[in-house]
Amino acid sequence: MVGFEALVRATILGLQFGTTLALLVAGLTLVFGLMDVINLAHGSLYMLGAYFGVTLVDAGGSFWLALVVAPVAVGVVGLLMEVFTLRPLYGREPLYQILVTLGLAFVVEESVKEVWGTSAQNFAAPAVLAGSIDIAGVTYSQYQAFVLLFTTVLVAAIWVGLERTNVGVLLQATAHDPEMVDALGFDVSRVFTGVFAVSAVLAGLAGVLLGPARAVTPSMWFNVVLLAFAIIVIGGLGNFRGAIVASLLVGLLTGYAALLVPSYTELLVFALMAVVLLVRPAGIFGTATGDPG
Amino acid sequence: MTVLDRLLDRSGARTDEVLGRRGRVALVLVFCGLAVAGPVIDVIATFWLHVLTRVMIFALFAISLDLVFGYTGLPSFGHAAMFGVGGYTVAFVTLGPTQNLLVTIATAALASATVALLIGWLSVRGTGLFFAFLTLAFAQVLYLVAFNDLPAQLLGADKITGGDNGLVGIPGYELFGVEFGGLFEYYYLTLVVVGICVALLIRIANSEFGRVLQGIRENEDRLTALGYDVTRYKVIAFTVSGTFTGVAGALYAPLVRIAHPSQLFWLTSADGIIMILVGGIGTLWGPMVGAAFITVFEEFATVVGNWHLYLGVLFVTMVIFLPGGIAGAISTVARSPREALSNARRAGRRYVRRVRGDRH
Amino acid sequence: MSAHPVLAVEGIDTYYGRSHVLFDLSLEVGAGETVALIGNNGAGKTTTLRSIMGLTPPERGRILFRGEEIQGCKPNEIRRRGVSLVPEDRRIFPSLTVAENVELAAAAGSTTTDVYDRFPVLDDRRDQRAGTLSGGEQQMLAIARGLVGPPTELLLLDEPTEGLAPQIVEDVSEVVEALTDDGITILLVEQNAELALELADRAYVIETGRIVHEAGGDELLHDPEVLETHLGVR
Ligand SMILES: Nc1ncnc2c1ncn2[C@@H]1O[C@H](COP(=O)(O)OP(=O)(O)OP(=O)(O)O)[C@@H](O)[C@H]1O
Ligand SMILES: [Mg+2]
Repeated sequence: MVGFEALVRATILGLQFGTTLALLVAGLTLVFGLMDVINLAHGSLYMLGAYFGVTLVDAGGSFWLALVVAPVAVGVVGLLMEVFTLRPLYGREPLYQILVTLGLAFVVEESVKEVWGTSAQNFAAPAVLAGSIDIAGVTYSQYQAFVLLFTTVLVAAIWVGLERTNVGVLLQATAHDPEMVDALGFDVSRVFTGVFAVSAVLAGLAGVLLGPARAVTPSMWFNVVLLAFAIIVIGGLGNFRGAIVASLLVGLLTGYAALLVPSYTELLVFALMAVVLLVRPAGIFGTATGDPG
Repeated sequence: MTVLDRLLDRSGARTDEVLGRRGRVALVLVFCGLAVAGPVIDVIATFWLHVLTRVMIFALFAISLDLVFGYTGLPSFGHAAMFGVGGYTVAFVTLGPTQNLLVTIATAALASATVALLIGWLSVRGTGLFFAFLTLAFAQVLYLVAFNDLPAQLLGADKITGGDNGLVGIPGYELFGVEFGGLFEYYYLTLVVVGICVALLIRIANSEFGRVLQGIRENEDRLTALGYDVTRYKVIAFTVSGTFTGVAGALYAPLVRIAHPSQLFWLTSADGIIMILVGGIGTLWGPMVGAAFITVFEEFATVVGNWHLYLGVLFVTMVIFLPGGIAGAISTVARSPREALSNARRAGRRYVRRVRGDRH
Repeated sequence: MSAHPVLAVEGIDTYYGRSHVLFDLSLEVGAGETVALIGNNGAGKTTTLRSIMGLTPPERGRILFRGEEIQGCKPNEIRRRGVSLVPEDRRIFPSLTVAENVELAAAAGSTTTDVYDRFPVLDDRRDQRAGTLSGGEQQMLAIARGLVGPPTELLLLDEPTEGLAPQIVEDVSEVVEALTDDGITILLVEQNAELALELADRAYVIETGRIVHEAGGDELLHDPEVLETHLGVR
């Protein structure tokens, strides 16, 4: 029988994973909402975050330095990807955009193998957070608590930014009618590049944060990108609120599954996705009109 | 001209037939060439017999993938599912009840058809390109099932899919007392099976049904307005394509003597996608050329280093600069070499413009 | 009068993909003028405006704005130079409020003209979602959006009265007249030829992508032959 304490810990683990996934999914949804691009290389950006993080920590930099520098470096990679491989494809059949991101994912994986080799890297959590804390008789890993707090704040900030700021208004308008936004005097191609770079930074951040908890390997991108897109399907396409809630849902599901049926966590997520597709093809929070929430 | 043609505004002058007379003659010649060359290759370079058998198998994989991907415009990123299921079915049947070729291939085709039906039926619910992602995800489900040997865990059996070891020691096929154990015999077996399948696929593509599929790619809304149940056609197309992919998988597993989770892994789907893009999406013949090119290229490139890296770079470059693939390049050059040259220059200038942020 | 007309379109050819839509089309709009571009459905009026705005750039020919070539520029550059498009079907952002629509457009430049003075109907509805406005209100919003942001010297108006009730059409024409009085140069596309010719100083008639007639507004209005052959007005 699973004890109460283990259950509480699985909840925290799940929430922590869910909010980190939300970072990934937020970027993915923005890119999809604005550019209509299904970015299969998003997981690769996440992976690069983890690898850059490991390298910085190993080179003697602190975890905190890595937490800042690695995502920025990933942002630069994302920027280059968008400018040199996606810009030429906007306006072409959308198929070619998904194909090019598949190709990029492939190239990143192989490049990572060239640079870091195929074996798993050991990403140490920062020493400050190595201990555990005690709340109401349950012990948590300090690092996990930190990740949960940090990502929650970040996701909330992104949410508020999209709903309440001028940048948010610009992005909503661009998602609806990029050509018109351009004709109003905004350089839409820069908006696209900016959004893609920011989504890369968020992915990189997620990579650094999850790195210490999960195996850092050249193929780690694939499961993550599948998970992130499954979340989007579950939450409802182009629905930001739905994407965030679905991230938490999938995070929790993963947390509990890891406790009860460890080898089936992913299968459960895909099963949930299949059920959603059958019962509510527009996603749990999707509306028939596809109005971004 | 059919009613559908007229409704789709196709003038009678334009022939939509894929692989017209000339193409089919070329195919028959290639077939005869392979048939005649067999004994010669067997004597001078047996290794190539293996390569050519692989080429034929992947040509079948690529052409059947192209039937949905390019011809119907349904980008499947999950055909590894059917390829792998074909292979696993062969392992189950030949390691179990019978090695009879007809029974085994028929069972494999049926199993992959069922899987394709299910995946297609679920995935057509995805809007636009989410179809691609859904097929990818559902194929991954099968991979996970095989990799963790879920059936064995559920049934409490020792092993069913063999987990990450796969199922090894698949014996060859047998038909009317003839054993297809040796590479030489297997080469001819593959040639015949692939030949039949390719002929069938081309017939399907050029049939009334195939025209509807083409219509779906060109203008789905129009077909819906005409009263076609587009979703149903999509699912059927996916199933047909998946069935032939399963046959390709059924030929592959005995060749490599193993049914392995990697055959269900996304990289196998990606291989198919790379082949059809490099060859020329939607042309049916291009993907077979692509399959040959990639398979042979692999043989040489492994010597040079990380061939997957080169392949990835080649793929990205082709998506951007040569989306029509080898087939597109051949037909442009054949039409007018000068035009091809000026097209290339224009594409280069366009690339620079677009990278600078111009949207035209 | 300055040396250059505000807008000079010189022999442009425009394509959508392979289909050729504008053929060697030329027209001019002088400073402070209101010029109408009239023609039947599918004649190429919208395409002409899209070409000027850089949305569908011409493959050949030149477009000069105050004497400077703009045909290679991106739409946002053209907007910042002073050309503003109020597009066909309005294309306001329906999920944003009226105020957000206006503020967004204003954020692209410095003009802070109080559009709410000019469009009192919008003033009362600042916090209403633009998608829930009536057709006439949406049109006002679209015009308002075209006037804020970078200073507007040339306004391209694409069928501003399309689908509106006669009373609202009146309101829109008053707005257009007021804009002219403020010295804004206007290129007006209209199906409603009579209205267009009333508002305009001059007019061009376009037919299958070619300018087939050019005249003063009154002249055209009183030339029954032109009206009948080119516009089907009896
Ligand atoms: N995006 C497009 N792709 C291809 N052809 C187009 C496109 N937009 C317009 N056309 C074609 O270009 C021609 C001119 O269209 P345009 O919209 O400029 O006409 P218009 O004069 O504005 O007509 P209307 O009065 O109906 O608005 C038409 O034949 C139209 O079918
Ligand atoms: Mg028009």
